[in-house]
Amino acid sequence: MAFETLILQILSMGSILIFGILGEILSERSGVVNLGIEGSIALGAASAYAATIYFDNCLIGLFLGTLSGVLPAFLLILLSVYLPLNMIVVGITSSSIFSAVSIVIGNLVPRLPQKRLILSSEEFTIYLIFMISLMSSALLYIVMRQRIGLIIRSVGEDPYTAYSMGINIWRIRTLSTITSGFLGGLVGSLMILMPMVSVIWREGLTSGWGYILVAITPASLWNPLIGALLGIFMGMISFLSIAIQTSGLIPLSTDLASLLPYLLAVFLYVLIRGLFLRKLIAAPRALAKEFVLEERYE
Amino acid sequence: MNSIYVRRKSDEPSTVKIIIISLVIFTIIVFLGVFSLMLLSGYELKDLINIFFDYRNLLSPITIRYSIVIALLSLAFLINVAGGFINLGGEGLIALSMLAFLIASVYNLGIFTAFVLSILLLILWASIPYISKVYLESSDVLISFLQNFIALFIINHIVTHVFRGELARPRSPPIDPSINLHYISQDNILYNYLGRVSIESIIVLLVAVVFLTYLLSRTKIGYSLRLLSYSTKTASISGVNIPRTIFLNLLMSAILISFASAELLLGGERKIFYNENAKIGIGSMSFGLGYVSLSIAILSIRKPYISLLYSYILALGYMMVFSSYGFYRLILGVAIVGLSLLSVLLSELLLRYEVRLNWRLKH
Amino acid sequence: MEIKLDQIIKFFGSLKALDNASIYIRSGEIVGLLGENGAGKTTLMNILYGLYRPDKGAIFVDGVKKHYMDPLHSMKIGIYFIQQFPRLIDSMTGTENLRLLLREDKRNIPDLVKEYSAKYDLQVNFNKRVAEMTILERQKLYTLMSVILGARVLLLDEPNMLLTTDKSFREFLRRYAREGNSILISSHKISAVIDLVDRIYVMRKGRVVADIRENIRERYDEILKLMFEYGVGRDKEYPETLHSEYATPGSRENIFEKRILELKDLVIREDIKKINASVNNREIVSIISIAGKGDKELFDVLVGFKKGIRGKILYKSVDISSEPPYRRVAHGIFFVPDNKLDLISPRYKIREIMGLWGIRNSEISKCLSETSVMYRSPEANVSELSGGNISRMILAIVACNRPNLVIAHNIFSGLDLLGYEIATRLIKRLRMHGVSFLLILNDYEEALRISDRIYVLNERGAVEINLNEAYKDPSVIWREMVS
Repeated sequence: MAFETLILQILSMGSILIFGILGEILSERSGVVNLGIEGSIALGAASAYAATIYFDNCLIGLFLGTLSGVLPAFLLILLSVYLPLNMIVVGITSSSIFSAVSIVIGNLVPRLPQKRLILSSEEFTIYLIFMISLMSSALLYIVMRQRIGLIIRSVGEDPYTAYSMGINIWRIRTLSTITSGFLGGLVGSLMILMPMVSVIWREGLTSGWGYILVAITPASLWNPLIGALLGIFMGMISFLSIAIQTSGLIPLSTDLASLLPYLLAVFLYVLIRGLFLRKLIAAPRALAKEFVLEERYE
Repeated sequence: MNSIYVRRKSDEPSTVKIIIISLVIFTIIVFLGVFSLMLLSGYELKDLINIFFDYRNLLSPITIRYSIVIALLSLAFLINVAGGFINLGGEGLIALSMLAFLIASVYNLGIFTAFVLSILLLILWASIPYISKVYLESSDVLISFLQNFIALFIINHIVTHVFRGELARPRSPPIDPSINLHYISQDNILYNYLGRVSIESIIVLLVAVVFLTYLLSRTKIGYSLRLLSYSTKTASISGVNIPRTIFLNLLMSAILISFASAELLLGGERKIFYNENAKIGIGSMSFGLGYVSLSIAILSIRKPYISLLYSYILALGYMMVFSSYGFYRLILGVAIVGLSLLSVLLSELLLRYEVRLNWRLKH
Repeated sequence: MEIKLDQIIKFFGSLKALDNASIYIRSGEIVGLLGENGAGKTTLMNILYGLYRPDKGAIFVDGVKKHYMDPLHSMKIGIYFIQQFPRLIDSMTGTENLRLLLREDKRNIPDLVKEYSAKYDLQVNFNKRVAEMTILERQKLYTLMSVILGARVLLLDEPNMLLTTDKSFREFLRRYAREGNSILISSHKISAVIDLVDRIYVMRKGRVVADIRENIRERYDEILKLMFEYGVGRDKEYPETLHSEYATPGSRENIFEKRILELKDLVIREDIKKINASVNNREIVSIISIAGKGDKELFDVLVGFKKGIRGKILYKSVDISSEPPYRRVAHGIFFVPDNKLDLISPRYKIREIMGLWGIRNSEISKCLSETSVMYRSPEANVSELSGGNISRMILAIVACNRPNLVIAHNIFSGLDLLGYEIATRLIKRLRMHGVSFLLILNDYEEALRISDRIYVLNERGAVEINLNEAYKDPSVIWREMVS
């Protein structure tokens, strides 16, 4: 495999994943673990595919795909931000339901090769998207250092105190989760439309990526810049398994290769939690804690 | 600020209320959801009605058999949930248990060793998320869920490259007849209703229901076990031996899961199949039972015997899934996971929270 | 601004916390809200500010009626609440916390802080992380923040230490009121507020029982009587006789000189030097510190939640420093945390909690009567119990279990006056029966009333106090605490 092609593949997959990680970092900073992102990605991919085939236009596909990512986020917001149901269970629920819906959507159009997103050339497109992803990461970083960033962080650290300071917890969490949903939709759409990465849609194409992203987000230490590095790293991992198989260096079956990202995700997650507990790094303290206006204990 | 006012209810809802509300929600959501998805996928309304309302399904052998399997799994997860471990790793655990039986078969180890192997393997596997939760405050749900994928892919690899039964298709060789439980014989009249169910499973199920009901609400061990679900701090300060409690919890649930997967494997095709839907986290032998029985466990936490009722209903739901075909089965499998969890959430909401919409009380 | 709370009723489950309580505050007034623990003062303030909603009654702000308040709205109109444990984001600095509240970002925070600090003579370090501040510093920080944000009403909940020890803070309050702002101070210590306030409301059991306007300073005893049904107050001057009744030098023959607990060169925090302290068999030993100055870390290290940085903990000469908490409990040590709910889970039934501690169903009622716990039935949930009853329940479990050593953090918190008396007598009685006590406390009067020996915990480690001097002049202890 030519070196240049390898770089392009890593960059294309990497930039897609960067968007996902940024979305998850944002929602987690406000305390919400968006496990619905799996559904957003699935729905985004299916919608982008269906729209591209139907309208024969990949930009419309990109737009509609990104938009559809918001739906699983809505369910999560309703049940875990406004109502205090366990956001991890709700996230998995939402993802499952919308993955099923995405299968239905993907089958609404005939199975044809879709138009890919190519602006002047494949390489140009990849570099462009990659630049955009890096700029988004920088943008999020800058935003987090402004007053709005402080507000978001306060909601993730200590929602009750933020509430008593007059901050609208629900609005902040809703906005961050919706953004995360959009970015999930974008991830799914790009997986279908991005050169070097895209294939013809099929059921279960994007499966697992959402969950993997959530599991590795803590490794970014909730810092968008580190998140960008992490995205590129995961881009490498995704191609690594294919590369190993094709090169035949290590006899790795498809199945064993498939489980690598999950294994890495679990390992990283547990490692980061262990480090966190040793006070080496700090997670948003109210992460995954549903906020209820309780007056007395419990 | 917030126009929805939510507060946790201070009193425990009555048994009757729990049954009625969760039953209604469960049934409505699961069946409605499945129904509409199937409609959207192109099924004829006529056909659907035939499938859904076939009364013969109510007491068919498959239904009963699945009820028992689901019930065993639900009780296993009930123990986990009681101890604070929301175990979403059912699919992987079932698959690994079957693997243990396969290994016992290949190396001629006998049924007893098979069970021991399965129990040990399951305890080790499930201890990862549980221990991480207790000591590292990480998300047991997330880790156990991700572990499903890992387990399913490992099984896939094994039936493709390690213990492959047929060259044409990836699946395991058949399980040796020496690995067997005692099944109801075909001459027995009960066979028509219960099908190929083992006596052992029935006994274990009944004992487990009684035992758990007593254990969790009346014994010191039960209290200690449940304290882990409240907080590790409280448990340790109350003198609970945490490592031992974790072990007992996992041991009891491992035993029940082993019986359930034995029932699935040995009473059925007696082969382990390739998990085509491993990417979605659903095993082909377990069809999402792992998620569904967790949902039942969450609903029946206060009264374990209710799980028997829910298991039956879910078994009916599965009957419908098996009556469909092709990729529709995929949709339904995924949907059943989501819908059963959703109905648990909504039931919990209605039963344990007080929700008021405040638009009248504006400033 | 004039604020009126009219006939407020508030229930927590079946407990009536406020029973037709009414108060009003006018501009330029400093009003005191006095009552013992559990009388409803904090609840009333929470309703005023909007953190709680009343079940009945109304709030009038400048004549405008509202059914309930809301923190955002309160701050908008200038009502600020400085809570007993001020609500700030721990991981952020004072400056960042202020930034959260300042709507217009044009103003420069350090300049603002300088300006207002100088104007009111209130010195606070805004650049420290809140997590590293003591409770007193946080109360001052929040107050100054409120002033910067333009507070017209200040609600202060139990700022006792601040009022008794910080003159410039008292001056600031007087001056701020003179400028036309209102101040409401709640406290259970009459002496802390008596020469500061213009008016006093006395609360008891959820009701406002008195509104005292004239000659406040001369009516100390009357106020005392109104606050406490039983006539004797925790606020009273500390009499030597009360203590000597129970632990005279003569009765030392009951105390065997065996050391049941020893802290050897124990370092629990980098800024606190090594601690050397001991508890002998059948002794009641107190370690006092200002809240946040090591008391929590000490308890966590003794329980085993945290490892000490250096040093050893010896129980009956055995080194237990590395043992997990449940092992220590198995040795016969009973731990009572500051937050009682860390020990008793509200989700359990009373029968289940007692069962966990080895108390059989048939013995439950006898056990709970040791401390007069009021409960509906053993099948009732612990969540039905009031905070005071939960504390009593814990003491009942101690009484029935007879551990060798009790290590408690703020063992008296949440107890009303009667509960406090019962607890004190129980501890002394249990001591006779062989139970030793290590009490970690923030209130030195509680310590004086019950201890055989007292250590003060400050940066220098654990300093033992000469009790005879302390009886004559309790401020000796305070000076050691803040040094």
